[in-house]
Amino acid sequence: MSGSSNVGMHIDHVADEDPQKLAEFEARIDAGELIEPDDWMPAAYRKGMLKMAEHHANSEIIGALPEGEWITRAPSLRRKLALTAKVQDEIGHGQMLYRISQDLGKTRDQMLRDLITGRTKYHNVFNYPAPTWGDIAMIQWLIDGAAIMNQKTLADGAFGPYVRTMRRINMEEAFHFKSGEDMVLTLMTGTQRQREMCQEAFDRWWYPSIMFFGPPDKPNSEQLPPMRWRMKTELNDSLRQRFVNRFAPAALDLGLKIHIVTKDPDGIVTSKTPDKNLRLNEQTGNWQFTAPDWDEFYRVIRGHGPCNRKRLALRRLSYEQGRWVRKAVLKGSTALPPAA
Amino acid sequence: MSKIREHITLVEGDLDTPIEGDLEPYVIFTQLATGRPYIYAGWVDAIDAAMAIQFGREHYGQDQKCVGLWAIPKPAITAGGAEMTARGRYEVFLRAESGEPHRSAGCVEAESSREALDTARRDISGAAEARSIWVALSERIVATGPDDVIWRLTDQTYRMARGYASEVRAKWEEVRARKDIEEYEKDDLKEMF
Amino acid sequence: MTSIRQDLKEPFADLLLSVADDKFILGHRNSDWTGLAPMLEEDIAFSSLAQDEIAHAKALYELIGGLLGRSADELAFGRALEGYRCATIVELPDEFDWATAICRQLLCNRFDALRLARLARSTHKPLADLASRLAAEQRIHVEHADSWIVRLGAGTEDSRRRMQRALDALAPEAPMLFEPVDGQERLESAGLYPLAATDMFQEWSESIAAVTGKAGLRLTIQPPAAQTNGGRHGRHSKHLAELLDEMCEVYRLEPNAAW
Repeated sequence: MSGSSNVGMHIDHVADEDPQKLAEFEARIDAGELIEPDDWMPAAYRKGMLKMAEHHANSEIIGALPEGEWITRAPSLRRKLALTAKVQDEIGHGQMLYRISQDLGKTRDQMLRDLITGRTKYHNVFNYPAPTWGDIAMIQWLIDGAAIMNQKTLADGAFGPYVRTMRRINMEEAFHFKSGEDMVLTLMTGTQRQREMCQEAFDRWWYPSIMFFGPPDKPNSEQLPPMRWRMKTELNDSLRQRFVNRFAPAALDLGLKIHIVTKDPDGIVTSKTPDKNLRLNEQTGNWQFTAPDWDEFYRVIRGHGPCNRKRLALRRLSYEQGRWVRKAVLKGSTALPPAA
Repeated sequence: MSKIREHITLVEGDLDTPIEGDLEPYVIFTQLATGRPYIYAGWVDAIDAAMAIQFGREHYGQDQKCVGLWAIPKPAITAGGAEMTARGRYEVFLRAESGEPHRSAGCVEAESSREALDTARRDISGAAEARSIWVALSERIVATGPDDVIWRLTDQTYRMARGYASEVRAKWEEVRARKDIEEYEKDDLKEMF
Repeated sequence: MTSIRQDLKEPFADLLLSVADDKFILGHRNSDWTGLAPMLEEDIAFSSLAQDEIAHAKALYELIGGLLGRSADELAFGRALEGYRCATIVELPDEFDWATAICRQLLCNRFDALRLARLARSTHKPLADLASRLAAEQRIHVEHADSWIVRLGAGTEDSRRRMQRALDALAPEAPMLFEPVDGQERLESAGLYPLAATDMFQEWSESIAAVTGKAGLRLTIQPPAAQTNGGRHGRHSKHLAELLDEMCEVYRLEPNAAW
């Protein structure tokens, strides 16, 4: 589970680049070629890819935490195995993505420190709580479903190491999504109590999953470096619409009701009303829906979400708890000095 | 650890410890069946080759069924940048198409990595047309043993999409059948009243 | 399935439960590290091993379930505290301390490897087949624990001290892994759980001492008392009660439902 589409990139420093090299670089991008780390690239591209992979990696590492809480409570042997494997995959994805940024010049130790001291960010969606088993089902169905949609477009990008990592990650995400779909189906074909648990979790996760793709696009997004250089290949709003087109009818088929909700500061739903705007527009083929509360989105990004502090605290504790171990194995090693 | 998870407070501010840096990077290759090439799988950071093999086995060795694993320290691999002057046998890895992973394609004897690359282009089939060539000193490659268990012998379908496919299909049919019945009943009611 | 003599059924089920419960509870404890281990690569490795333990337990519960007419999940989640047959050492929380987690791996995995080797020679064919598969994977666990013990024992002064402290705390609990289930002698003489050629406790303690010696750690370990009344008889620490409350929290909401 992850997503990197709302990584903030402000790349406007191509003025210093050799115009001929830049033109060749952009021609390669336009021709659909992959850029490899040894190839020439604008400094802003290198920096942007480093940051993008780092943000994506951070999201995987923090994304492991809300689900990790439920490994000890998974209600069957198969679910316990699957959830453990799924959270393990997130760490594996983080490890692979950090490697991309390491090769672009930043040490992992520095990235982990920047993450736990709040200097760098991770995906907003992991700042919401997972208070029941139903949330685990919903995270794997909705959020991993959203992540696959996003990452499939990222696998069409231009940076070789990132593209190869996306392809690999997407294979594993298919397991996450199927297992999530199976959990949601099991709950919705189960007892009254299980269906209620599922509906309540759906109410908590529907809007975070719509917001997963990032804020509405700026009017000139397609001309800005992230898309011009195929660091990302699809607009946030277009991904969002595809997501709703896929998941709104599936939710209705399952017997779930789609609500607009209000939540307390802990992320718990305090009131809900049916989304009256939700319907299939026969002309466009798109499902219409009430737009999310983007104020909430920015509030959570600024660190005021229900779980921001909790997630960072646990990750920081893990870093501190493991220090003596890393120190002991590093002793006498020929590890390179940290990069600046 | 659930109690610990629930009762931690966030320590804010900087860490008062120095940056420790990273361990050594190793490149991991996996072999899917005996006699087949070793295919680039990814990287691990480790203290030495033994640890790299252990990490590689539990990470990339569990992606799909595989029978062998190689770990190569990054400085022992070159694509032509920094030259290795060591004389000996070099393993050759080719990326045939853009975006593909490197695959082992044979080995050459050479005085240096530069010579190894030149020899590979001449003698190794497919090398001349390859998008990218890596050479690695064979003596620096650490491999799993023929009797090592990598891929597990117990049922692994719980961590594969196909492990859920048939159940998911059956449950969707159940859900949609239920919906059909409801609609049928609705239609029925309309006709009756 | 090969049939089991009526009078051996109960001890046989108890024996298999002791193997499965050790693995399940240890796997449960270790799986909790997923996402939080000291290094990312080790996080992945340790989680694989935890999954192995749970997968092994699942295969064993399925075997036992076939004998008792119960499902594997019912055995894993649906028993009362006294019904579990695990040893205390797997029940203890590790308090998020890597030294404790690793020292426990050394003690338990080397025991399990020897136990599985015996079970792989069982006259009960389905068990023998399963045990030899599990034993092949168990070797990975033994190697993993050994390498960490040596690295951390011979690491820094701080790491050696932490490892020694963890080992000193766990060593007195470990011999109870050898506590026999009721009727174990009969299982041994019937060939269902054949004895090893050498004394199992001695082989175990010597193999552990070889590793700790290499790591520069002290080890004091006593054979279990002749008469014991511990985990193999359903007497457990308070930690297992707490563990089960958490582990079964969701399952118990709807014990008859599919999850």
